[in-house]
Amino acid sequence: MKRGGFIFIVPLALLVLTSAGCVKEDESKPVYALIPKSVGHVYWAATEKGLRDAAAEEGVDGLFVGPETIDVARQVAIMEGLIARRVAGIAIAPNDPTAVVPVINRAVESGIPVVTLDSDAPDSKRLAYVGTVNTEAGKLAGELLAEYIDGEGTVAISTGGLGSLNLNERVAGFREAIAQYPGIEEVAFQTNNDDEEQATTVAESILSRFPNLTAFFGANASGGPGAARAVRQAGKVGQVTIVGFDDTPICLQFIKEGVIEATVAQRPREMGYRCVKILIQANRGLKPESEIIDTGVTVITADNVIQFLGTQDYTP
Amino acid sequence: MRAFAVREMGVLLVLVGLSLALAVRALGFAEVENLLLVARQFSMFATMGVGMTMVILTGGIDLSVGSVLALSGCVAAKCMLGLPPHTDAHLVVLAGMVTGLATGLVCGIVNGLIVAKVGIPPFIVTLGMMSIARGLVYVITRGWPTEVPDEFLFLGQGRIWIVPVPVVCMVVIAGGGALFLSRTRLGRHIYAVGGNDEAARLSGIYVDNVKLLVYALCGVLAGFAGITTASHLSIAQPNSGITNELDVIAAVIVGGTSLAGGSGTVLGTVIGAALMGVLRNGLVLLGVSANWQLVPLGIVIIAAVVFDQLRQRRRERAHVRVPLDEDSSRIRD
Repeated sequence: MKRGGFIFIVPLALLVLTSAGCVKEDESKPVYALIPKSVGHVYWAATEKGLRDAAAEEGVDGLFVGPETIDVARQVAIMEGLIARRVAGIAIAPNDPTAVVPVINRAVESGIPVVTLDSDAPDSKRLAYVGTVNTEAGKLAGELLAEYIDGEGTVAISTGGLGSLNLNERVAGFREAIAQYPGIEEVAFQTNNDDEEQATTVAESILSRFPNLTAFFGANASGGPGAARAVRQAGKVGQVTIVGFDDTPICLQFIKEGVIEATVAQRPREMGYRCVKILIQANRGLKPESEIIDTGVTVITADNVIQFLGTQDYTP
Repeated sequence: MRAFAVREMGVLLVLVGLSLALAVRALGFAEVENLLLVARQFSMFATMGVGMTMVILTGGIDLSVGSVLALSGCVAAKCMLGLPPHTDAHLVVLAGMVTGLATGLVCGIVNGLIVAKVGIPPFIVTLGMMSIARGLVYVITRGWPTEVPDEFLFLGQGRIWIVPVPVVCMVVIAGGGALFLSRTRLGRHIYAVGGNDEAARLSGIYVDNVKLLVYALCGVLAGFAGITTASHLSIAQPNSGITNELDVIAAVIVGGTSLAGGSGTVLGTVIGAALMGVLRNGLVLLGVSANWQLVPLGIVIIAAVVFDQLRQRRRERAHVRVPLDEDSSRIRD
């Protein structure tokens, strides 16, 4: 196999040389980086869109770089790389609120402003948190759901990564809201690991166990559509009320078809956009107006879904 | 049927025991509809497991199936979406099938060529492919999901009588795979390569070609799982199938296939996948909170293998010498 080695080394060398040419970075422009919880999900693609829009407006470079799976150690490693590169600013959606504290502090101490988006790291020296106030948004979802089912019935929760602060806050807010209604009972709490196939599987199992279930709450973007598939499959559209989170195209489709009652839509594009603006301001010596910047939520139901279909953050 | 009695009985007993316990304890488990759903849920792992079984039988491993699944699904969806509007429905389905399966096949062939002809350990090659395929998905989709046209939804969402289509496909593919392994000469060669690479070579088997074949098949089946998943979700997701390779490998190992190669069956793999599917379903039905579920899942994986090993050891002690017979699965016994 000795001679065969060349067959691989030559194209490999070519690949490395040409890929250096693929990197479209302009050396002269400052680079603003955004680290999502993971790449490959439409929600994060929307934050990337916000990053690109703001970068284009401001004439800076946007760099979107993150781990393949929801992994905090990879995020820390990526951030260390960005500090070594001396980027102009970093926005990060921490997969764990405490594990990122040292590396955020190190960035800030070396003069790189940092903001958190989507999920906060309150104990760090980050300039600000940009995103949904999740406890409030969860509470809103809980109140909506309670209203739909007239304060009575059984509810199942489908959430994403069990270690994410924002989801846990959302679920806590939701539980706080339904606790006001003695007629509502939480019968299941399951994870879909932010995967639509698993979200469907879990919801199907829940419906097998509780054929008379009153409602589903999907705490993340996969939860609502997963529940919707299971409910439709079981022929229980109209019988089981679903309230989800985020306005992914598939979720809006289910709302239009009347399978999902409502979704609490966050504004990921806005988050990415605001992060860049705040970081640029910080480099000009201006502090953000507040430490918590609420990007707000929109409740989408069958009544207003038409306005959002195809026109939202979630179109490339 | 003797091979069945020997190899898969251990894990089958665990599956039956667990199912009986759940039928008594877990409300809603023993409903026909629930069982059909469970079958659909594990069918994906079992289908990919057919290819993985063959790869592991040769002493190899394929870590790229989860990524190839996502790549195939997205490529197929993109191609179908790229067709001009009002294309004939059959043509849409054909385009999706062909591009999806071809994507899987290409990935599998690349794996197989590098493993067989260059002689790089499969762990490394397929680990690389896992990264390349996942990377290509992100390059192609930039993280955005791709819609699957309505014509293509039958594969993942349709039913034949009451049985979900993916389950029917699993039965056909697993049946074909089992027959191929036990009844064809090429199938025997796969066992022989895993049993002893050098001995197989000396006895005139084209070891390289056998290896190329199993990786190619594994790739095609991952491609098939990819288009089925996309069809089931009505949407091709770039992040689908992450860590699926581990679920598939677990199903194969729980099903009694030896990681060292040379011994194991497709039927065992299907039972292994079923065991994991039933367990996942059961944990939800029993109302076990999400925070607690991974622990029992891991315990059952280990327990199933331990139980199987103990049974085999007892058998071996009982019959000191196992007579060699025609059953391919026993070549290494």
